[in-house]
Amino acid sequence: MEKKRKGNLGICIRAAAFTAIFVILLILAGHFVMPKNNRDFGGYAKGGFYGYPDNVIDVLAVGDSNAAEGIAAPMMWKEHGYAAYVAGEPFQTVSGVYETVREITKKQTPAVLVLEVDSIFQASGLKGMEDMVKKEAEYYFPVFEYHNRFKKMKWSDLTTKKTYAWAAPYNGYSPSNTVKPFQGEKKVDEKTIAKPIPKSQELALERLRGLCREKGMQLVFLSAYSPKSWSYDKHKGIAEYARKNEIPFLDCNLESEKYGFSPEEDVRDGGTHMNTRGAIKTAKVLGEFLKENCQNALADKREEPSYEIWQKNYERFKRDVLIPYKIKE
Amino acid sequence: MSFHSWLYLPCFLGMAVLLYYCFPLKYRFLPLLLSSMAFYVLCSRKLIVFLAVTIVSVYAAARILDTFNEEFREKKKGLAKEERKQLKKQVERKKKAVLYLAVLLNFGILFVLKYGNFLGENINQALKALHVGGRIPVFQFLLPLGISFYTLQAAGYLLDVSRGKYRADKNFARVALFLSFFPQMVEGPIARYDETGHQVYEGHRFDYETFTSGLQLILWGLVKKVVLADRANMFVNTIFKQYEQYSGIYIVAAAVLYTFQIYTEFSGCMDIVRGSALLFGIQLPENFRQPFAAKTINEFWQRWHMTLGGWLRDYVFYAVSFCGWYQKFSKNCREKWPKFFGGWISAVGALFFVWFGMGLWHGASWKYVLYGMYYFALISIGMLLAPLGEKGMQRAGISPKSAGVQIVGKVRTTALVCVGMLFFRAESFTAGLSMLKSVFRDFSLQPLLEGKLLGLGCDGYDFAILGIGFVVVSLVGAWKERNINVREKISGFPLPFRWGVFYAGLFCVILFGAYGFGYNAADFIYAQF
Repeated sequence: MEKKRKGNLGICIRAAAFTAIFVILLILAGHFVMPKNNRDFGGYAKGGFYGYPDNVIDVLAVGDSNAAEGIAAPMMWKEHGYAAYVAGEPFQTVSGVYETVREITKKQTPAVLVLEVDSIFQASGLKGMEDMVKKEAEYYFPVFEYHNRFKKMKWSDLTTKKTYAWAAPYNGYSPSNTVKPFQGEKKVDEKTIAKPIPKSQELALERLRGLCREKGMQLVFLSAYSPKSWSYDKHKGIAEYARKNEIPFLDCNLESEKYGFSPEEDVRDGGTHMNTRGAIKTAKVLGEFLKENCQNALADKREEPSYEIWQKNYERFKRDVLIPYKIKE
Repeated sequence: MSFHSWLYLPCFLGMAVLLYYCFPLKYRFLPLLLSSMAFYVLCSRKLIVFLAVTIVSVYAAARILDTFNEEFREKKKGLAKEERKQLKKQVERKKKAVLYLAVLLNFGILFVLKYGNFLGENINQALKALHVGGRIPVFQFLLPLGISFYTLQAAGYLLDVSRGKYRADKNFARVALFLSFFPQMVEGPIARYDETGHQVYEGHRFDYETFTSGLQLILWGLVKKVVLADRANMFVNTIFKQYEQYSGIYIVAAAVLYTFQIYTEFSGCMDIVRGSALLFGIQLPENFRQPFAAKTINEFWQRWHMTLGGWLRDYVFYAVSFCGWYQKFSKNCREKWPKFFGGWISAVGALFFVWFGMGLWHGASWKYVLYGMYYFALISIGMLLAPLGEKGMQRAGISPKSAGVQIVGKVRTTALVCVGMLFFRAESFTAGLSMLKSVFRDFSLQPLLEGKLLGLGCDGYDFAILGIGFVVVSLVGAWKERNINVREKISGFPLPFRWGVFYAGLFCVILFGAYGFGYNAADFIYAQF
């Protein structure tokens, strides 16, 4: 009996030691493969927020490509004096959004979190659950996300220190001057049944709301103008969730005419993504919406010296995008 | 839920194992059954109703068949030979009715769901060709997870009970677990009731050696699937997707890499499956035994997807060979034709059903039927020419056991398998044919030497990893062929070296795995069958 107990104890110690060494190696491997410069993160401008001074982001917009290409955040500064940053990633799911917000809020204290709702339908069922586990693992062990960088590694990467000084231009927004009109038509039928939010995404949304509560952020839903991928059943599903949880919801598609969105001029790829003309309209509409719905949380920061980076960003946006694209402010 | 996914390995399997060992030994079948049902519902949702129909019908039919067997055993005592014969006939008739009903029900479900659409489309095409008005409606059904695997397993159980190989199980939970044990659900192996029926039900004590063996097997499976198969898939996909743009060496490379991909993927999946089962102390049958060490196509199929081959041999080949009408046909052949030729026709006739079934089992498409027929033709021709080959070698004074003959046999078999795989992977039979023709058009080694194969989904690093992987997989195979158990060898190493090997395996998967952003990881190929 005693011998057996000792044997079991030995197994437990060995298993614990093996696991501990494995975890240490995972962390070390993560340091080894992670980009040493935050320009190399990939995506739209992933990691571009690291270069911003601490606690200067007041409005954080997150989501998939519809966020990254749909909100010309420098215009929110110009119009309302809101320090807004867009952290959108291709095919981003709510779980991905959660990890992004978790990382950004380590150094920033946004008052408002704008979630572009296309993310909510990026994954469902088992894929959604799987995504949640994967994103969690990637957050703690970056080696799972950046493992493929082994192809670019040099031995010096072992000793090189990380330099995350690059600040993404245009507040993280990705501009485009292309115009490819949307050919279809908007279908709104009141009899449409609401498309329920996938269970896995609902779970991820609960976590995101918990994070918002913890960090004191007000959550706002935005459906950026995307006539090709928008549908009324999705709108109803999200509106129902937003109403139940008292989340302000701005849908630029449902009343697109009222907000001045044009299917001919404001989209760059036949209706899925907006070009800069459309993204500027979103920024203006969203700015107004936030002014109405989050007035206690937000303030005009144009006069604050610690926020001067946003003015510089706007000037650069004007110089590089507005003037060459011949867009009037 | 893929077996190499984040959801399966650390979460689902981890929880199932934990739950299993938390229960008292006697009741450990309960968490296993619960996990199996949960796995099925998670993957196939409402389609679990088809699995339930199979479980209930198979359990009931087997019990009835068993009653008939018992009845015969009881009643035959004290009967004269003639009366016994009469009774046996009666019982056999009743047994056949029950067996046919149960098998028809289960194969009927499989047929309607998997082949209904294929049959409907073909009938409509035939009607159109014959200028007959009207079309039959064609429906596309969702296929319940693992239906091709568990239906064969269920039919095998029924046939064995009917043949009196073993008695029907009275325990419903045991039959349910035998048919639904979750690691086997997606890609098999197609086990027999006497292999796993009792194993899955009885509680197993935690055994450190078995448990770590299971973990090691899972790791080896992951290396094969995530590092090698999914990496090869990137090149294979590029070529097969736009096959019209490629010819010569590109097609050869794609066919060879696809053969490597499907082997590492399917055998890797089996390693994960068998490793998962070992975590519960359950030994599942092997599905692969170094298939590329085979010297003939016949031998290849005795080493590749062995449980399917074994099933077809026992329940199709023997069933056809020993049935009344076929025995008459065989007798006729032997009487009317010369002895060798008559025997050949008789054997080949039964083999036709095996290979037709093998092809069709893989999918509802003429491509798969012709894939089966390809092997049928190769094996039939091989059987016909074997005596000629033997005589030729005898005359030339070459021993069939000489290294040269063995190597030629292995290379020839591998080449023929690669051709078969080309058709298997091509989007249609005509696409496969066009790819095969294009091999002989502009064939040159120049693109290979100039590195033009790089950049077609795989870069130099990817090919280097595939090359190293090929060497490692071949070495492990060669050791296994010599009955050297690599895992046992490793467990004999001193601890630091042993752990070093395991960490190397783990980090090989983590660092060099073809997963995540930039990779389009493929689902398991056999999961779609």
